[in-house]
Amino acid sequence: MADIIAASPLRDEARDNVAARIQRNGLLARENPTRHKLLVVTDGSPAVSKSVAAALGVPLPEAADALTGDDPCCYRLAANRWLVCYEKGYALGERLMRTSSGMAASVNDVSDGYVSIQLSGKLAYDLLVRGCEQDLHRRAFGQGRFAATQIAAIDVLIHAAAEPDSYELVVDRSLAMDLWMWLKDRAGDLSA
Amino acid sequence: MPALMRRRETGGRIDRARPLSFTFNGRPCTGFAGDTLASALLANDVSIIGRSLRHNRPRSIMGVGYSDPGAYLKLLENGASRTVLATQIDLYDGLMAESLLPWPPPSLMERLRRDQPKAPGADPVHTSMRPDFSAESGFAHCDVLVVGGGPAGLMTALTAGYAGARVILADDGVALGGSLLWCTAAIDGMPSDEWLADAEQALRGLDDVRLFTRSTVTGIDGRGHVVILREIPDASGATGRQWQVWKVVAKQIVLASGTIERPFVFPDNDTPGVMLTSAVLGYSRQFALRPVDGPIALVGNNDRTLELAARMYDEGLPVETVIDARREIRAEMIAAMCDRGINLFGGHVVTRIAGDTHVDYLEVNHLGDGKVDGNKRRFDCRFVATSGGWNPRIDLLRQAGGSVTYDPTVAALVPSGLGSISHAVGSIAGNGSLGFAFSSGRDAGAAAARAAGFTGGDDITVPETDAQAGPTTGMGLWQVPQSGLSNRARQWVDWRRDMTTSDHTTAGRGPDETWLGGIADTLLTPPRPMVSFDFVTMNVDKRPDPPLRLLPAHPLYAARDAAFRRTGGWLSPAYYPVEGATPEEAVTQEMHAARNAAGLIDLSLLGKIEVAGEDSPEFLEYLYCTKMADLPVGTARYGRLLDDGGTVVDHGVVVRLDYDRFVIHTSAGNDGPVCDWFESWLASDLKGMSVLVSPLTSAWATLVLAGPRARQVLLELDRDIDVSTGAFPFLALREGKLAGAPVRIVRTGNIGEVSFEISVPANYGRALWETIAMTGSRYGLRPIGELAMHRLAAEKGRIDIPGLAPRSLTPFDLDPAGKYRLKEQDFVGKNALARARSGPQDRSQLVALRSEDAAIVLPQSGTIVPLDGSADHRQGRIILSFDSDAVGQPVTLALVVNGHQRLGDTVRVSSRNGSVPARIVKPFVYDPSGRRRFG
Repeated sequence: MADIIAASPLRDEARDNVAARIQRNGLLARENPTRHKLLVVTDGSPAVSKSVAAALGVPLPEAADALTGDDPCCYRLAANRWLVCYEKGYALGERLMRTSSGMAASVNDVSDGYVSIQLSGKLAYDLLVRGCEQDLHRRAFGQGRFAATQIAAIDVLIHAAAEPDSYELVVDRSLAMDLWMWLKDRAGDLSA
Repeated sequence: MPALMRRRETGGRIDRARPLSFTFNGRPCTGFAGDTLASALLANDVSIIGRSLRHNRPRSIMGVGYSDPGAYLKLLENGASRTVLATQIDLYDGLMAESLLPWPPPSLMERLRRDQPKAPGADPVHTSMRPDFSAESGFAHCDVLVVGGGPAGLMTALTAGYAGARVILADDGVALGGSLLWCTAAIDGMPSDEWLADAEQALRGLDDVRLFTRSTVTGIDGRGHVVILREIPDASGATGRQWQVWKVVAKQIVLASGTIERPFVFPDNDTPGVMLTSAVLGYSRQFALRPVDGPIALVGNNDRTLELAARMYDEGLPVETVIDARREIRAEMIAAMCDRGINLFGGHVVTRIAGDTHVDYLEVNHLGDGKVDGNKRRFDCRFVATSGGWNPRIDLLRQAGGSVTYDPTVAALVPSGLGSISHAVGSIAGNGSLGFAFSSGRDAGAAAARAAGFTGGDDITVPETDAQAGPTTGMGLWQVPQSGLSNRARQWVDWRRDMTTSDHTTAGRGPDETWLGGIADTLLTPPRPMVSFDFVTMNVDKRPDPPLRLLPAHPLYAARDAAFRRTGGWLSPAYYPVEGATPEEAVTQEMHAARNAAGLIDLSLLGKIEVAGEDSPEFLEYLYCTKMADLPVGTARYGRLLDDGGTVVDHGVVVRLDYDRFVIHTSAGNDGPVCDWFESWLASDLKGMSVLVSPLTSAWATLVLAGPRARQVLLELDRDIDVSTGAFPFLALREGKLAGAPVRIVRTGNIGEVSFEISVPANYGRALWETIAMTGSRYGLRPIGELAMHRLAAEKGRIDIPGLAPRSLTPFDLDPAGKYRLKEQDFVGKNALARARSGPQDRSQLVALRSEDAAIVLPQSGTIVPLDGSADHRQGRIILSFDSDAVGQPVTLALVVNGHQRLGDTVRVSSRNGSVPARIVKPFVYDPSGRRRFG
């Protein structure tokens, strides 16, 4: 019997082997299925944080709603708890797990637990403000800013990407379809 | 009835190239794009639009915008009807409107006929009180929110916008401009229309300025949070169907909401043909409507009345008389009247209007000290424009925690404290002059921008205007003194609810309270204009709240038309319908498959938390009431978490992956609270322990393959795990690959059969479910929903399934067999548990019930009462009851007060269908030896 194949919760929204996407009125929303995610938890001691950061290549952010790095980038979820997202360097996870063994740090691959959605285009902001209470205006939420907030009452991590008018949304996989359908529905209402 | 107004050939903001047809009370009418229903009715010679509620008085349109108190009509749309304010509804082609209460009132005979029973279908079918509408919501943030798009609001927005602030300007009108829409003054040497167009264009040119028209600010809280309700016309131009609800967070709020004209109160002031001066101006400038030919009188107590008289005269209207209650009138205003030959009667009031459905003539008396006196004068007239002064719109100010004070100069309440409002500008501040609107707007715009962190704006030039400077002065006259009036003279303050000055000390009732008739503090009145409760409750998104979490294999369940239920925020299959079978039969078939072949249950909704670290064994030992520290690596154990009071807060299987690494399972939706609870212990009493808590629920899918043929199904799949009984004992953990996917499998047996609890990275969950279901179909495997799963567990005497048991039970209460023992080690809730055991009883405890007639399935909704007691003496309730094939008799689990001490007692089970006696027994345990699940 053939091996089973892993699939994103947005699989049914994908067409022609291209990841799920919404393209409307200059707005592009697309799933990024190649984004790996690690959940890193430490006991908060500086020595452990330093070792983890060294293996990661970026410091672990300490302030609330802070992130560091680009690829990998590291979101602070709570005290002593971070989500690391990366695309390049598949071995990063194994390296981090090796580093953490024997010290007060825990690393879990949670790539299947979250879905990354990239949103770009001039209407991306207009779309997000329909459901997000966070001030996402470029002045208040400039490039590199990150917030744990809600869109349409769905918990999301939102990150202002390097490109203008671009955001990365990270959402729990069980809520990904709900968020996706909300984006799709509201994107249809936007006028160019 | 004679018409009130006529359409001019030119002018107005209507589009004469786009004629529209509509009906009123079945009568065909026409209007133009840009008309409101009210303006179109006036243009179609409709002078009376209905009658009043209590006294059957004829009602006409007397205001413009939502200040009209009586222009409520019924709009018929798609078989539904809704009540609308005619002055607020844009005309669209095909609109059908009716009077709420038609004029004239029915005769006695007609009313008697109406009260007779009607034949079905005799009335037109308008089943719904409200047609469908769509609404969406959004959030907005700004530095400066300007409420009101009149001259003061526009100036504020321009100044703050030029300073670089993010500005939102919200105005409830169809177009920006406020009083500029009917203003004739020159501004910066140009007509007000041109200045307004320039200002709007300038605002639209600023990137960070957003202009919301047709947008009503319905609420402001004390923290600067504002709700704006915005109406969007649909493709046909119809309004009231599409809405946006904006929740705005503003750093600075500038209130420029202006004033509302109140009618002058005098006898018979509700006669059709009496209209507010602001309405006369508004209908003239916006809709090119002018009063019908015939003498016109203006009645009031303030300068605006005189200004309007001069303007109407200059436009060629036959203004003959102005009756002003004030004795002292400024000399230039008197001169303006004299120059035009208008008769000005200062210190006079109207004491009667002759005519029931239209104005024939006025009777006027001198106003002495507290009474009318002197000779009665009579003036022929067909139209009366009236103004009793201007009330600042203080409703939002009061919502925002601001305060007001009475200013006798303008005879109105004006702001004295602003609450969370940053500035109040323009006429709301008590000064109605255009110059003040511009200067106060500029100053407030600059100050608000500065407070939000922007410099600039101070150098913006205040526009120059030739409009009259200085405040609009008025006189507080709230009714014409009664002495000297006939008994039938009624002075109206609330047109909609027929309130007169003699009815109440208040100036209206319900939504109309304080709206037009007088002045009052509006803290406790509803927002205006009236808004639907859909918007008040913000339930406009029509989406479940909170959002639904979907299982990894959800699309497969949906494809099987599963009946879903919501469990802990997850959408989970309750059962899988079978063609030709009832839901009950479908559940029974699922149970039969699990007992006789194999069943597949999705338990991905259970919480999964990794607890790691050097001190994790001791940590779990302290948190769980069952032993955990001695759990061998590679095995699992069922455990319960208690609170400080010793009651069960959660439960689940704990798996030991390594010496210092566990995965604990929680009930559905409880992973977050349990995780937080663990963290709180680590931050307080257990601080210093080296424990790392990682929530992993969504990262893993968990499928349970159970039943006597479950092992055979597994053997069919590619795997590197030996699943034979000897190699894979009960409660053991094995890690490896199954169908090519990395898995952790635990041998469990909660439902009393051999079970393999398979956890797989969530992205494999759907494919694995599909593969197992397909493979298992050859062995009679069926997917099992929650209902069957609960019942299978209940056959084993278990109710510790989320949602079935209240969180007020201790482990003792859940243990009718008396097997549970307090462990030696300290744990959370231990002391309370020990006290509860030795203290007073009267606790609800888990037992089974058995009807004396074994064929009877006790009702699941039943309550338990004493055998000889009344239904009021409730002693417990049934939590699960069904007929069990496997057990061979009905299974009923219940929570009964002191149930464990009352085994063998007989009670009554009371339900809607009567009551039946039942005996309290120990829960029957299917397969008590456990042979099936250990096998």
